[in-house]
Amino acid sequence: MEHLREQLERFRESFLKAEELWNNYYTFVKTTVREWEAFTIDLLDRLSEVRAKLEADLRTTEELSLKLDLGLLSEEKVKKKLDELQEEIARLKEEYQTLWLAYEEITLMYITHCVKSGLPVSLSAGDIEEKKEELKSAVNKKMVSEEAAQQLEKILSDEASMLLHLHEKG
Amino acid sequence: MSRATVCPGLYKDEKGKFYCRFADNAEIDPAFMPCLLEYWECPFYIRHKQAEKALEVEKEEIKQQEAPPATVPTVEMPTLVVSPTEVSAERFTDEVDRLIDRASELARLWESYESEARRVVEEWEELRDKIKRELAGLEAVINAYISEKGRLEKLLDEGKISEEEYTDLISRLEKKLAEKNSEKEALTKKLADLDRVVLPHYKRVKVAEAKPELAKLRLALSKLEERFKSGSISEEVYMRLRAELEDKIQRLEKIKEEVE
Repeated sequence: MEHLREQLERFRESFLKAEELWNNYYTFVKTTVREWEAFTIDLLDRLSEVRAKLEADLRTTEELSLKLDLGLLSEEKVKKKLDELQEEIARLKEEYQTLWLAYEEITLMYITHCVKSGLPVSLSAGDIEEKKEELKSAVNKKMVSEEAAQQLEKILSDEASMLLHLHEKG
Repeated sequence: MSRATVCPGLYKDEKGKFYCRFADNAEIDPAFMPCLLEYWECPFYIRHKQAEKALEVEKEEIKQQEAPPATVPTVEMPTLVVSPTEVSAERFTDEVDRLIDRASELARLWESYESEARRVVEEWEELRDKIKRELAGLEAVINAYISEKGRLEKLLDEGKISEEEYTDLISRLEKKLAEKNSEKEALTKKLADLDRVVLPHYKRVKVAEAKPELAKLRLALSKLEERFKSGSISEEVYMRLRAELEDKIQRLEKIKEEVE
């Protein structure tokens, strides 16, 4: 009897410990999720700006060659502008894909922990589809490298699977 | 033979207004006409020269028909006596020389102004492109904030975020949105200020080349149409470049109209 009482006490303590750990985990996830959602506003700011500038620079590059063909600009001027733009494009491209990859990696962690903790996820399958379309367009416009595109593709698929799992769990 | 630095058809009245002898004495602004630069390219000057040449040819023909072949009589040159009329002629010569000097100085100043103005206009065009790119970036951020606001409202409706979380996030967004809107407004105002001060110089330096520039732009526009029809460029690129060319054409047409 004494032996059984000890065992029961041990289980009671273990479950109480688990409860405490869970509460700590849940609170920690909830705080992190709130902070993350607030931070995404800043990230969104920079990502949209970099994307718009990168798109504009790529468009200008295309237009410069055309302007040379149409006799609107001299070869020398086009070359000078293209050199400046290539440098800027490389810098923006690097920043764009680095930020996007980091954003999606953390978004996947966010979904995973929301699913585990039972917190609501503020993303839908439709949002992931939109991101996949955006990635396709970015690849077509050569805004991201092939390697970064493959990594992003994989993360987005994982995000979609997590959301599907959440949906199936009801 | 070297050319004069000022068009011989240019003259000024006592009120300081300028007129062109070769354009039926019409009032003109030399700043908008080539009077002080390559006036020999001016259509009024060319027309006058052609008429002058035709008259000379005609006179020569008449002279050849009428004049009898005669021996040239030797004429004894009169002794040089300084008369009051000659004094006055000398005074006029001095006046003319002085005016020529002033006009030459004016031409030099104009040349220096023109080259400086061209540099400013070129830098202005480049800076304008950069500001427009910056504005496109701001516009993209503003649009992203607006769509994020919509997404947060949806999340609140679906009960995925609490009222408190929504208020917190929305107030952050509103603050950022206001910041970006005021940045955009300030930059747009700066661009307008810049345009206002540069445009008069743009007009002055572009007026002389408005006609050839317009021809160049129209040719480029028709080539662009061909490229689009043949499918070698996308509709997006075509539309954007067409708008840019049409805008430039319109601006030069306006300058041309103002001068004419």
